[in-house]
Amino acid sequence: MFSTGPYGVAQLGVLLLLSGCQTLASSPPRVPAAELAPAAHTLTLIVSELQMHLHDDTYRTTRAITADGRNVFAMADWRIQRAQELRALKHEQWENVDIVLEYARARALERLRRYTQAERAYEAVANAGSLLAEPAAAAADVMRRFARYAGGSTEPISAADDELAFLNGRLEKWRDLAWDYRATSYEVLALEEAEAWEMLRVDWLKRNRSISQAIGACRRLVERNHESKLYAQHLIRLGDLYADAARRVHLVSRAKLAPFDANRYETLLDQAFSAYELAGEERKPGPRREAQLKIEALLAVHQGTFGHAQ
Amino acid sequence: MLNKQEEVIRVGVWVVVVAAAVGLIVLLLARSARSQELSQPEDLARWLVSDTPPSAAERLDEAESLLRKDRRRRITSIHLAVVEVAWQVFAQASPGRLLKSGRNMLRQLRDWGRRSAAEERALDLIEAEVRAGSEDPGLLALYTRLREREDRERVKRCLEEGERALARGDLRLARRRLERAHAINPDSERIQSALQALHAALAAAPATQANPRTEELEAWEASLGAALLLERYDSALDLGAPRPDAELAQAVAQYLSGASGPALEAMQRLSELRGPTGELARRWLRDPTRNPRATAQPMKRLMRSFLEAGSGPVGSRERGKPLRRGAMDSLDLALSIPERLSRGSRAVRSELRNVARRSLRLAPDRPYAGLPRAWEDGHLVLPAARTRYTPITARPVLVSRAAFEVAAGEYASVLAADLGDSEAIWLAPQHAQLGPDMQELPADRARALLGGLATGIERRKLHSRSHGAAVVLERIRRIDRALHEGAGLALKAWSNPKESMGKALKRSLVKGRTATLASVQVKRRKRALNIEKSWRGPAFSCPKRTVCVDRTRSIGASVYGRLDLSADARLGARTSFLNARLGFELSRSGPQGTLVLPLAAWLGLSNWLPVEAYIEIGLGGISGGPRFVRPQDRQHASILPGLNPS
Repeated sequence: MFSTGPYGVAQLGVLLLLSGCQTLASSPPRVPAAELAPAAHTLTLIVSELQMHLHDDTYRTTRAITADGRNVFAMADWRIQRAQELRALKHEQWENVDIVLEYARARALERLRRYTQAERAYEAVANAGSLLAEPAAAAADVMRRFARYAGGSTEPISAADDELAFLNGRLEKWRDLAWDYRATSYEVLALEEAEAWEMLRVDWLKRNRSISQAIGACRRLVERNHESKLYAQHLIRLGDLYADAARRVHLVSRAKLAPFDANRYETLLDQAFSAYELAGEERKPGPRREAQLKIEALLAVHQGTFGHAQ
Repeated sequence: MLNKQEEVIRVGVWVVVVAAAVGLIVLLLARSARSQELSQPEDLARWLVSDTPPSAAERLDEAESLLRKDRRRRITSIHLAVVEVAWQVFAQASPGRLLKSGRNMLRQLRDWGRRSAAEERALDLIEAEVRAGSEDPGLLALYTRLREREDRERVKRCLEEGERALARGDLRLARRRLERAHAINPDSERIQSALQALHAALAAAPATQANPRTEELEAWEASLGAALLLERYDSALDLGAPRPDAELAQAVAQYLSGASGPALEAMQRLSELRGPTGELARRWLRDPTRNPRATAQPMKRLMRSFLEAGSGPVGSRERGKPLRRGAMDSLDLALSIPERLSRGSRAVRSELRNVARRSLRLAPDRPYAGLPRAWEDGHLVLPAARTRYTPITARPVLVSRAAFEVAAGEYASVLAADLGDSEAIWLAPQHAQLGPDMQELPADRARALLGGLATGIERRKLHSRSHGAAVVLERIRRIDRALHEGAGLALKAWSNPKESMGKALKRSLVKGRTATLASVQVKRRKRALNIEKSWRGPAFSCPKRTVCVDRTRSIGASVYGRLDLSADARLGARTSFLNARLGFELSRSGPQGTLVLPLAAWLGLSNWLPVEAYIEIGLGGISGGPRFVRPQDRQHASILPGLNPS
């Protein structure tokens, strides 16, 4: 079939190349023990997955959220609860498996920032007495401290200034806690809490004070949380505030309360676009798409304003 | 063959003739209808003084008028597309061009029955009346018809989306879309059968979250779990059973204790498994922040796709099958190599798209988005926006010297003396926008100048090459408005920035932009270099993103040269008046004179019969005939050097 001479050598070369390619292209053999794999999540799998994600920096990254949007900790909590319901054992009857389940649940709750529930779960493990009792007691102390500053005020707040003071107080407390627990796994939780309170503060200022104060607070939010996974969202919020301020300039002029200040309007509009553009540089598709849509929407709104602004 | 060609040409000519006749009739009818509308000024006056909201009948009239206009627009588009195809047949154009025109015509015909924005507006107009309980039968009939069309369109879209989602296994979306389609139209059999398919798929789908096998919890699971949770990874490695989930737990322990290499290898092995164990291992392996090899894997996958696609049997789409021994004939092999390469590259392209999508989804978090651009000494400084939006504040306008002379009238010479020998003049309402070396105009003269500019544009004595008349008028109006509010009008001389010959030639030859060298314009267009010298100096060249106003010249004249890559050189002169063009050209085939008369445009028929007369006189004698010009090419054709763009 093959001739001799240079032509034959070339044929052989091509054949060798293709056969080599075929060898490379062949897939590795499948693991024959595939059928041994459990069809559902076992305790070992639940704990493995949980432990793998417990070290995730949830303040800076979104690793604990899967590609299809599921929260690893919420899933773990749900699976453990169902397992506990199926076992249906009282605290006094707990075996080692139940203690491990409860401890794992406490860790999941802690990452979900449900501190009171986590504290209770840790206490249950501590009272059950096992190898896990000591770390559970220590964790329960931290959770107790966190739970004290999580959530709203126990006393009703009527005055707006008091409300703002409360918000500021909480923000400071969480910043202090982040400092106290720096370089531990609790630091990221405190940072997330501080970020959440600061976001709330921006929203409060927008509702109860002026947009310019809210813009100032939002700028500080962006500056303080430039490492956060929510950085793009903060920029979008900042863009929204600038867009709202621009819209207000237009509305005031439509109601003839003041002449249309085109310079101010355009400055605000430009800042809004700029903030959205910065958010649009995010690599994650979600915020990028949101920023693009915001730009499109603001362009449409501006087109309407352009017609009205004489 | 010849007979067939003549037949085709005859058909083409007939279509053009019929199109012209149809155009004339429609044009006459349209004109008469419009004149009838305008011949009732008392109606207009009544409408103007009326302060009552429009009645049901008026709304119906307006909606019908909208629909009529839309129908007329569609007829014009289809007509133009048909004429274009007929013309291509008549002119025996290349098959590619004919195909393009044919596709355009078919697209226009296909879109005939589609819903349009005009229908939306008409529906908006009459819907309020119907909801308010109007019993006008005409209004109700139109509303019902439009509403049915809207529902049909909505159902069609929902159904298509639902079927697509069903085909790719997205059952949640499929359910939403199909149930929505069913709610709008419960009688459709197609929707019902799609819903049945969906229910079958839902029944066959495995439960998303199976219950944990708690009843099978074993003692070692508690020990292993506790060791992991207490971060005693060494103990975890000694615990467990020969089961894949225990192996995964041990891999996690290894990974978290710092031995990521063996851990990832174990996960690689486990990732081949089905079920939650394999799924978890695969998820972690895909995460580039956990598995550094995840970024290298795409390259391996690309190579593998290329080889699999390239080594399959030639002539089939089958991938990954080994080459048959019989196919190893040297000639076959040599002949199949291009196809193998092409198939491989197609597979690589497809894989690349997947990789890009995946890597975007799995990219490590980058919390510093936009920081380099927006950060100064730890503070956020938002940079100027890149999004282009229509400015509301009055912005400067650049007016050519010739246009300025037209607009300024008697003051032109006085002002021109102060502005020196510049090519153009900036007009701005705020001094800050122009910087130093500007002069301010008194308010009365400023407003007269702006009025002159606006009138010139409205009367088409002035124009802007970069923007439409409406945009320029709006810009001038905003400057005028700023003057009313107390701003002064600032003027500043401007000339095209001088650039070196090297830079100008580079810009022209490499980037294909127009460069001006000693009042001669040089531009490369595809494979030809055009050099043109206009009568009355070079044309005013407007900087990018600037609204410029220039004088419209009814008579234009220039001499030009054209050098082709195929070593064809032409030298000529041309003049134009009211879009008629006369030219003389010297080329290797001898002297040639050309006259183009836009007869259809002069008769106001260019929308229905976009054809101009073309006469050529050369050594071979006189030739002539009509030539098809697309409406969108009309403006373009007039600025091309030479008379014949082809």
